Amino acid sequence: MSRHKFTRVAAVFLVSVWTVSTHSSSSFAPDFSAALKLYDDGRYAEFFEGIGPDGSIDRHEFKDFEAGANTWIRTADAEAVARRRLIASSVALELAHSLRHAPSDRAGQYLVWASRTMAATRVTPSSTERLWYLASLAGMEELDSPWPLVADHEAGNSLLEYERRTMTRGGQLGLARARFPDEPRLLLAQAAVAERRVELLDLDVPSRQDVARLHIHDPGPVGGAARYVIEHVQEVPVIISAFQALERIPGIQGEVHLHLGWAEAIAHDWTAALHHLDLVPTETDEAYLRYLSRYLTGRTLQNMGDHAGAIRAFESALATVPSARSAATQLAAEIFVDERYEDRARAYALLRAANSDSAPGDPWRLFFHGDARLWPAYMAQLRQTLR
Amino acid sequence: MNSRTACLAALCWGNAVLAIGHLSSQQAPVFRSGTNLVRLDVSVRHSHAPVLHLTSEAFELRDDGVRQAIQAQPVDSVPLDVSLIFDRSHFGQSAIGAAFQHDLEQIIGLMRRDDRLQVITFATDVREIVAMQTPDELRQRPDLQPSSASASLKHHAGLETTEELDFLHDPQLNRSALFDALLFGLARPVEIGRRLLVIVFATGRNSGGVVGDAAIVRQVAARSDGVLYAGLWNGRYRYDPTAVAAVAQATGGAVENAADAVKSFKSIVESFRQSYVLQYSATGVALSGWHDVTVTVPGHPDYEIRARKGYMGR
Repeated sequence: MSRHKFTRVAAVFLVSVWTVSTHSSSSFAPDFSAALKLYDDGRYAEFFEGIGPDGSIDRHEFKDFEAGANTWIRTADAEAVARRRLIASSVALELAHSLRHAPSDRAGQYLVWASRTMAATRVTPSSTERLWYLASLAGMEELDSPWPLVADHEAGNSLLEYERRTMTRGGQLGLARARFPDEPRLLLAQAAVAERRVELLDLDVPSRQDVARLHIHDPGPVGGAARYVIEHVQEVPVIISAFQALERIPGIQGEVHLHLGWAEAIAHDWTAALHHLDLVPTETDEAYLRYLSRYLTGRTLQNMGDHAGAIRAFESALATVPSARSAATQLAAEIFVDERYEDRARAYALLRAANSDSAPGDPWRLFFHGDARLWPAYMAQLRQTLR
Repeated sequence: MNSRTACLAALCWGNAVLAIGHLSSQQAPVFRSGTNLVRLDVSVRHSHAPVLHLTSEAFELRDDGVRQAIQAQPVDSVPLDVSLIFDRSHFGQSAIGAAFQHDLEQIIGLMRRDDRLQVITFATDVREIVAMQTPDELRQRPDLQPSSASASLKHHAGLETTEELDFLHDPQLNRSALFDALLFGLARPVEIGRRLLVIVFATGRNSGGVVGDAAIVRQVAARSDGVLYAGLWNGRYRYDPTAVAAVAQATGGAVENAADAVKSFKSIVESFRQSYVLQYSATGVALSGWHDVTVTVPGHPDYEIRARKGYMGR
């Protein structure tokens, strides 16, 4: 994916100015049969016009959609049921996507309905169904807290707890892997689920671990934080093993080495981390991955105390995705810490650009969202296939 | 541990590490406009009241132990650049919200004609919603009115009706990138002949930004040319001054409770105007490396003096 294409796609993904009116509605409500028919006929432009801008769908429209779609599937001829399931479930993904910036339960109910509808499919797995599962996972991963739906993780006080309980055990990833057990991207997603458990850990965790041992019996929040660190640091070797097992699978090596390098950096295995992060640009042309390989190299060097190296790495990341917030912020901090007085004005200009509405979506924000960035590509292919 | 609890634990942890005090102390560079010209903002108070009308001779300033010949000038005579940072996050539960326009008008009214004001807000993202401008320039901006504000300004300034916002579950509001916002405010270069005052109104909690380690912000603060004051209040959670206080102290600034943003702004700006700028050409010391700086008012050991503890020489 080219730099500009990535920037545009990521901007659409993440830098929305949330101007959702919760009282508007799509032009389809209350009868969604027209929407389903348009999608079935491949008249996508008219379909999207009917949905309206992101966030237009009213909270109460789901019931209309659910009733209409269930009837539409039920009333089909026997040989058409499988296609109608696929069409209706794809429409549900589209509607969920348009709600991705709203609180998660609004998109979640469409995603869960789609998941349950497709789970009823009994036909032989097809390439179209495979594409649908990849798109559905990417759609779930767009949500603020994707893992309850993707992997059946307890949602705590997340809005998705109710939706999670109505999903098949194991979540959407479990369903997808049951249908396509050898799909590389699903294997990668499974490793990423393990990584999710430690996403709050950062590079200074091992040093915190030393302090944590001192406070693990503290009954207050300090003790709670200490126990959290101790518990999760122990999982890092498991994550490293999970990604190492995928290293030889073609097509996903860039992503495997990116995640492997980051896990090794958290484990303070600097040499292995830098080696694997350096491999990423040789294995992929995707701007998102190349940016993150340089950004995470910068973070690793930063933690090693190599400020000059970190600055070079962050500058290299910004050459891939200009004005990305994560690298711009870290670079500005490093310019101060490394006493680069002559670069301060540049650092401030970078921060202004990175904290403006025109800044691109930040790849670092997507790092823990699996294949969310691939949703547009998956859906474009799916629409093409369904047409 | 669910994600929310884990998030809180991580927050507590960041503050706990800070409170434990195992991090090395960060110290400060000072405003410089030349290879050896040092400027230092100094607040002198006695029994909580500012001590005014001190002359250059009243101060004793030592740079790495070597007494320097200084010139003292009241900050009151220097135009201010004020970076005003507001917490818009779930943690702060809309610091400004619908009152933004009213508060901004009041704040602009407290500034002098040659002062300038910049407004930054933060939640999941950080935004400069008002670039550094004079009060007259700000008054002429129709887009700062709620009726004509851009969608972006409405969102980042919280001009929407707050009842419609679900702070806890809105992905744009449920994180608090306080450290990123502080870094943005403190990184601003200071123009010669002006002073930079960074004022943040927040709960003091940081979550989900790019910078998660308070030590990094303190290092930047220590090398910044600005002075940070923080007005903290109880949002969804009780305010936590630990991290912000350390950052403010690294700049020679301070933290105070702030139930009312306008009153707190007035108090902070007035207090800052009643401080002094001490200026000197460092002599008898190496130019490069860290310089410890001490400021006293001989004969008045009961005076409370607030200033940076040093600077990094070139």
